[in-house]
Amino acid sequence: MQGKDLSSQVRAQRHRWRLVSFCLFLALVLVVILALSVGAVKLSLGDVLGVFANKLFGSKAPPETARIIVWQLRLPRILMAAAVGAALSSSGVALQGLFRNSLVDPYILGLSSGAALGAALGFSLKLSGFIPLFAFLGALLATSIAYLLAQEHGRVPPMRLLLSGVATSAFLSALVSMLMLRSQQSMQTIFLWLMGSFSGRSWPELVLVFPYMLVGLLLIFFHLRELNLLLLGEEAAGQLGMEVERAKRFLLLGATLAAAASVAGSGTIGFVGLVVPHLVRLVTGSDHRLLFPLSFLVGALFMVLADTLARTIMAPVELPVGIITSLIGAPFFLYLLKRGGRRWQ
Amino acid sequence: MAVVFDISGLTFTYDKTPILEDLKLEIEEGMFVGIIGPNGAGKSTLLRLLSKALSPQRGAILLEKTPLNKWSRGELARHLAVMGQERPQDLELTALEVVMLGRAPHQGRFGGETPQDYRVVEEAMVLTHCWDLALRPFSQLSGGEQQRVMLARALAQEPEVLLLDEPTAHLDLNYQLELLSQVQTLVLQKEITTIAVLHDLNLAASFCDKLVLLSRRGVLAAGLAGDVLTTDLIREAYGIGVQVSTNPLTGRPQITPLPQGKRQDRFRVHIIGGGGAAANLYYPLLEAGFTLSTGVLNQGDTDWQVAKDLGIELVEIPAFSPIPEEAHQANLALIGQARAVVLADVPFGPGNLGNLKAASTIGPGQDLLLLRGMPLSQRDFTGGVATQLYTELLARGEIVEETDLVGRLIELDKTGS
Repeated sequence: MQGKDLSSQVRAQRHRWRLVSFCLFLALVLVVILALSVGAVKLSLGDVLGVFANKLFGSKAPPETARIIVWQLRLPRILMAAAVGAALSSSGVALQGLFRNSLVDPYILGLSSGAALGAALGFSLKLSGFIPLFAFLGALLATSIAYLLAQEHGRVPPMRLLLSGVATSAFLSALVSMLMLRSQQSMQTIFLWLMGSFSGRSWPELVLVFPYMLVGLLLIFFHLRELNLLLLGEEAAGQLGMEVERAKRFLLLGATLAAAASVAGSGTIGFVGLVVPHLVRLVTGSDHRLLFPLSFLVGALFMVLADTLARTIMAPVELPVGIITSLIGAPFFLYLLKRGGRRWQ
Repeated sequence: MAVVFDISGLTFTYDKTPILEDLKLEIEEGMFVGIIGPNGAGKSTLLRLLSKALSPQRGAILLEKTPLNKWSRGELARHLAVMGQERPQDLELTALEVVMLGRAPHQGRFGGETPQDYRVVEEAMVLTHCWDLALRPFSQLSGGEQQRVMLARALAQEPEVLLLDEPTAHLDLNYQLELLSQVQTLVLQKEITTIAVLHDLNLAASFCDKLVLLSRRGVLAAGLAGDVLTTDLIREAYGIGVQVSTNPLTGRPQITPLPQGKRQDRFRVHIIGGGGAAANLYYPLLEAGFTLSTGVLNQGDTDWQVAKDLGIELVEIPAFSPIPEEAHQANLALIGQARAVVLADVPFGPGNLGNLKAASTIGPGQDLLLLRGMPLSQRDFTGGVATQLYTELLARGEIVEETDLVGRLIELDKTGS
């Protein structure tokens, strides 16, 4: 009866989502270009595009200041913001799916407090240059501890993992507080770092964290089908042919790598990893093949906007971007929840 | 007939508590097998072992002659589908998307849905009558509709074996019947061997081809419903007394639980019945603790059937035959033992006039209760003889409403003792 109808309807729907993704991508490019032009020194769009034209096609050289501002100062920072936004959101998608709980964020397994502890250690050892590395290792270590503690008969039940994550997190946070008290001086530095910022990020940092993000995101990308099956519960997913524990390990590893690299790159920026997947799900539904790419794009877009605001609204003073993400994100999120923007309503 | 599952020596222990011990069972191809048994007998555990969601400590499960642990998860999912008890919550998928998840074992990692996938999904949803729900959000469906969608999801796997764990739990009666008859149709049309854990013995008896009765010791009985659902086996498994009768519509066994626990011992009551007038008196009186006898009843009479099923001492004679002297005497003997006699609202003809006469033999210390019913003039087919006798009886007994009968007898029991 409605058979032909329905599959064409579904195909049309899929086409529509592809279009939406494409538009989001265009919007991202547009926002990046705009972000390149605004700031302490205002550049014209022509200048910005001129820098790119020169870099890509070797056309007429732009003014040197414009070249430095765009290429050396703003572009790496903006790309870092986009990458971190995408990585945190994707990590949130994976973990929310894994735990079948949309209140989970990438930091739930002690990742942020592990990173903070690493960073605090770095600061107190006066190894400021190695902060990202310390943070990265701290994040990985914390999640590994939570994972190992949750293991039981070769399985990791989600509830146990959540609880051991919360416990690990609390313990490591206490250690961070102790370190902060010991040296009043580094306290403010650590505090600022914890709020997250893209200030002063340049190419080397980006190159350092990008590969880990990429590996993490790919791991998640390869397990989107499994995330869909997990919606039915772990046992049902196994009965549908899925190797549940193995897929969970890969997903957890991917989500952790992506989030740990983000934290290493920019500190612990809150809210994005929780809200973006949630928000996108309100529109797309639970199909992770849609949820993942759209969260990736929305996360990047959101973070670039937030960072641009962070460095412009009180210029020349910069706000920590974490403040902006929460300040804008939370009310918007509540508005969406109230409106109940589900695709079927 | 080919054997699908060959299970032997199956032992499963959970936290040192043995759930299944040395279980042996064969499931034949194309059957609808119901697994019944009390809580804690390991019904769901058995099902989860069969689907490889759990692995046993000891014993072998052969699926199509191959040990279950030799089957890869993917292969198994293309051969065997499970509808578990868990219903996904907070799922923002349409019914169609949920059913499509059942195609996962047939799909590659990245390939999207093929036209074949859509065909299978549509067929499954049409078969389980949920095609018209395809684009509705799963979370907004009623319990019955969700269960149909979950059944379609299992069918979308194109399984040869279907495992259902309490598919009718939390469903209203109409949905229970609907779902089970759908499953029955699947077994017949698509020749899917189906194993279902069921709670309701009567539903299991009327829908399943074979039943497996589990108790804490393993398989207590397996076979046709009539062989498994016996009073003795049910008492052994559930520890309760039941009445097993035959469902007049399906010819399958039908189970009615009997009064349970330690009841009060009350005096003996003899009930004079016939023509179905006493059928619904027996059970409440038994439940209240009275010891019953009844007679004289014609075989095939409703009263006779019920009294038989309830195991009440009775005097019976062939259908349509008048009461012979021997039976009359036996009836008198039972009346003699009783502390009270109840005369039901029976129509009297020449054939059973003896029952009315018997009532008049009660002596001092015995109570006669006459149930109020149709005026005797309308149920006297003896040309006035019965009315005459009845009028005499009225002087020696008391008239009681059917609703007051149990209460009145309990009163008599208390004052008597």
